[in-house]
Amino acid sequence: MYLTPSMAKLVHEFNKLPGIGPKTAQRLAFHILKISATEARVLASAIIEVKDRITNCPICYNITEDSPCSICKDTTRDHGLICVVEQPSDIIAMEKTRVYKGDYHVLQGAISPLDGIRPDNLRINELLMRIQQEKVKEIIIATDSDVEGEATALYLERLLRTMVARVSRIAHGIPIGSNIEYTDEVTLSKALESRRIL
Amino acid sequence: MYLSSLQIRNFRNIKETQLQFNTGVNIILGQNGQGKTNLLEAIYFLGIARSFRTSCDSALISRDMDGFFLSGIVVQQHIQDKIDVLLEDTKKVRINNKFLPRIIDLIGHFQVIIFFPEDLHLVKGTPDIRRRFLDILLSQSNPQYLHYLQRYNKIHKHCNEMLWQLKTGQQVITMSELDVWDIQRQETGNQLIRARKEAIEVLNDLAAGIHHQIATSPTLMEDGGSSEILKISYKPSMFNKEKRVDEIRKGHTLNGPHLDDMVFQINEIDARRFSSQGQQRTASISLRLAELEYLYQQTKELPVLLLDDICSELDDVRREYLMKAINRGGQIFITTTSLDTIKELMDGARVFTVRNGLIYS
Ligand SMILES: Nc1ncnc2c1ncn2[C@@H]1O[C@H](COP(=O)(O)OP(=O)(O)OP(=O)(O)O)[C@@H](O)[C@H]1O
Ligand SMILES: [Mg+2]
Ligand SMILES: [Zn+2]
Repeated sequence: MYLTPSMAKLVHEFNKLPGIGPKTAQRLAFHILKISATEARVLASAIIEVKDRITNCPICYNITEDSPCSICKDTTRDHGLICVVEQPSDIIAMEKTRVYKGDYHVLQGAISPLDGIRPDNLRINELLMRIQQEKVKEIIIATDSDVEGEATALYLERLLRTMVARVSRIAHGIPIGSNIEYTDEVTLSKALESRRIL
Repeated sequence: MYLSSLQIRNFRNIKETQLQFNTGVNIILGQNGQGKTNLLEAIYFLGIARSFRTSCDSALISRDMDGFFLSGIVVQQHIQDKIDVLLEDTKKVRINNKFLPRIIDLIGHFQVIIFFPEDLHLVKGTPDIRRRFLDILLSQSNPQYLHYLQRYNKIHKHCNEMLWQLKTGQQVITMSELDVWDIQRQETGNQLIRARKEAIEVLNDLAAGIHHQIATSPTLMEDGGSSEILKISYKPSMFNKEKRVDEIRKGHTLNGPHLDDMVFQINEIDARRFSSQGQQRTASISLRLAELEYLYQQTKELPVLLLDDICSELDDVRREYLMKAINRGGQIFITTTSLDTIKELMDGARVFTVRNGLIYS
């Protein structure tokens, strides 16, 4: 199909986004063509705005528009507790629980030699600095349960265990509200391994 | 468990077909080169998402076509599951119209065992053939095994990457970084080793009994045969910390379950190197029949048996034994060029005739 140069460029840019194939890219581009100039400008400036405004919090490396971020600034939170996560999106998930009242630290990834990601490429040194400067009682490691997340957890645990009173790892188990009958064997066996005495 | 129907589109030389199968014996009859094995290959693909004769999926697409499509109805304890496998740019699997996030999750839904002439290599061939046998068997009987296997393979790749960088000195890598991967590799690897060890012990008992029965059949004894004792043992590649220096020098791991092997002995002599082809053939059939029994014991379901060209390679004694041993009421697909060689299975069987990729029933 024939596309004008500017349309082709837009399709090409959409196509670069994660999860967007050529067909979807084209559909999005035609959608943009249909909306008003004002709407298009609002969208474009929203994109520019996040790029201009969002930075990393100098303490926890979460994304933020203020420095430090609202969580690090919040005096009602327990700053002696740091939950270490891979991505800012993990914080959003944790915060939805409303249970956790400590701080966070975003590693910005996980150790993955095949992708060339080494401990030095993560915000691990920054975490060590925090531990030296703040009174940290406990580090909760909440990296993913894939092999890279586990390797990162293990690396941190071995690094931190002499520096912090308590280093813990979140448990992997059966999702609440789900039926044991329909839980896959792997999750179920992990849940059994991390069972607790009542 | 049985396959009640199968739709095939653009798979090898089979353009388009819709088949209804017998819950018992299905005979696939035809001259050489007509598409008999292709049909078995399609059925196998529905269970394992790979072929038993090639690792190149695109070779399975009909020449000049863009992809193939298989859709089967599998019945297990009166419950029907629709399994679709398609290959276009990528391989995709759907169960009851829902795409599986990973192809590998298909394994275990439709259990199949293949018997084919290349089985001789289970005894005669290289260790990777025996490891693949174990991996497929254990994955079909235990989903956790497959999970650990995938994790192990991923961890192993990361380990090798680290070791390679250490060897080539591209980057400075601390031992504690390597340790993290080694610890995980051992933990996960030990799960595989434990599962393999348990399975081989059971397989050994089962296969030894079967092998003994075949070898002591009256005909073989008259021919000067003698009592034979088959022993299958596990030869794990154990983790060993002292190898690390060598591993760094070589730039890859030197131990772990990806290097395991299984050893066949007949009367305490290494069957791979010293047994006759006939003895090796008997041992490989015994192992396949042990696989059938093992899967049955573990899952309480008879897997679907696929027998390709089995009769052409076997003498009467082994052929007759095999025919009896497989005919246990489960579903069977067997290819042949002539009905004479499978008389024992004819009772109640449905015959499919294959000619130039077309299948007539
Ligand atoms: N990708 C493909 N596209 C089209 N035809 C193919 C493809 N791959 C194989 N064939 C054809 O399939 C035929 C072989 O089919 P198959 O191996 O099933 O034979 P068979 O009936 O089992 O024969 P035999 O009795 O010799 O084992 C050959 O004619 C071959 O050219
Ligand atoms: Mg064939
Ligand atoms: Zn912060």
